[in-house]
Amino acid sequence: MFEQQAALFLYAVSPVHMGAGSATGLIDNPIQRERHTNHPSFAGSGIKGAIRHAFAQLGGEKDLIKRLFGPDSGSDELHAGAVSFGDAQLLAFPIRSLKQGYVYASCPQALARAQRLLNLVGVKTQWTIPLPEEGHCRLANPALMSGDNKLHLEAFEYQVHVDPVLPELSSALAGLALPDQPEYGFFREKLKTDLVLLSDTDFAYFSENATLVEPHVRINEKTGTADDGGLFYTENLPPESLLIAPLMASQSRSGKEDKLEAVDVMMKMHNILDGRLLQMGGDATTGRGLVLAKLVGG
Amino acid sequence: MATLTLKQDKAASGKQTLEQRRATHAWAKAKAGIAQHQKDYVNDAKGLPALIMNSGLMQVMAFLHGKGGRHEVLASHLRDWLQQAQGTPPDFEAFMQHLLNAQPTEFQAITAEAFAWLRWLRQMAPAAAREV
Repeated sequence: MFEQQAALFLYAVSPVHMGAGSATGLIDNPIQRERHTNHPSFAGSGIKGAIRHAFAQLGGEKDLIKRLFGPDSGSDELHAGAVSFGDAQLLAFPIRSLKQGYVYASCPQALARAQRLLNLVGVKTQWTIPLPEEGHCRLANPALMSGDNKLHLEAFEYQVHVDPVLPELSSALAGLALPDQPEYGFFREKLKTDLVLLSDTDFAYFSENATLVEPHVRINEKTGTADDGGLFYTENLPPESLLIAPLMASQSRSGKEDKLEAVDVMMKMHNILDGRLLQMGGDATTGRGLVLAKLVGG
Repeated sequence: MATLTLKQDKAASGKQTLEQRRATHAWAKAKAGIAQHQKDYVNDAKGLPALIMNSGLMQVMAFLHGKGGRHEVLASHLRDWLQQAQGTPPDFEAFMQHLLNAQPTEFQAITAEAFAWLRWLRQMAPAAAREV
């Protein structure tokens, strides 16, 4: 029984490759996606593994690892861990914009799911979520527009409706999702002003087709040029993407060491995660997977 | 039931589903492309979706046309499919004109269809190369 609940915001500061294994799709190494929305996601097991791996380095006490996360694989001990990480779902996705560099795009579906999660873990939100039509968008910052009430995202043009209630939602979201430190001030402000709401359909198009895809080759040691047959394509979630995951805590259940109450377990998670930089997913040695964590509630 | 109706339709008209048509078309084009350009066609086909994802369909079609040769062969295969599935003109200039005048939703539908077909071509091309 998990007595404590919180929401974990994950903000990508580098490309992130949470791999889905090799697939026979458009890309050789695709990222994980939700089955029903096809939005990029992080599996809870991947988040948990990354945090377990970094626990001591993040300032956690090493001898707590088994009590909090469960015994090592293959161990004789048999008890569950005291923390549970859910899958992270996409909340905002960066899209190249003609004005202001990029926007944080979201959609009613993604916002409503995030709001549901927040309310379920006890973080009460009362967002009014506007419902843009296909080909239209809602935004708050007129500086994003070009020409005649138009927003240009990549090659596409959207009819703009300036929405007076959107800043209420985007300010609340920015306050929750990004750490309070001044170095994140720019991004908190940008999320407040440059959150753009697209229809679920238009958002799905970008979250599917506007990720970062890179070719990789193997260099032949003798010739110094690309080796034959070594070409493959890797997909990454772009930096500035924002995801949200549930985190739950119970009392520790190892039966041997001192028992930790659920409140203490959640407190330890707050201490190691809040405002911290984590590394998640593959290609860590080429700078992939840097994610800023913020834990809310619990 | 929807599946039952579909089955009857197929039996009655001998028609394939859209996905089957994509696969059939991609297989035929992969064989033709490999006959002309061998391994290069496989590599170009593998890289094309990433190119479109990063740069956009129109830019990539212009780029392939500009390079000519085997790149234009691949581009013409894609345009040929898009003509069948989306009714866009098969020759380069008219195709570009069509996209220039397309609404964002139509442009996205054409791009999505290009990806759906390329998903097949990407797998069919290496398979066809082994057959040679």
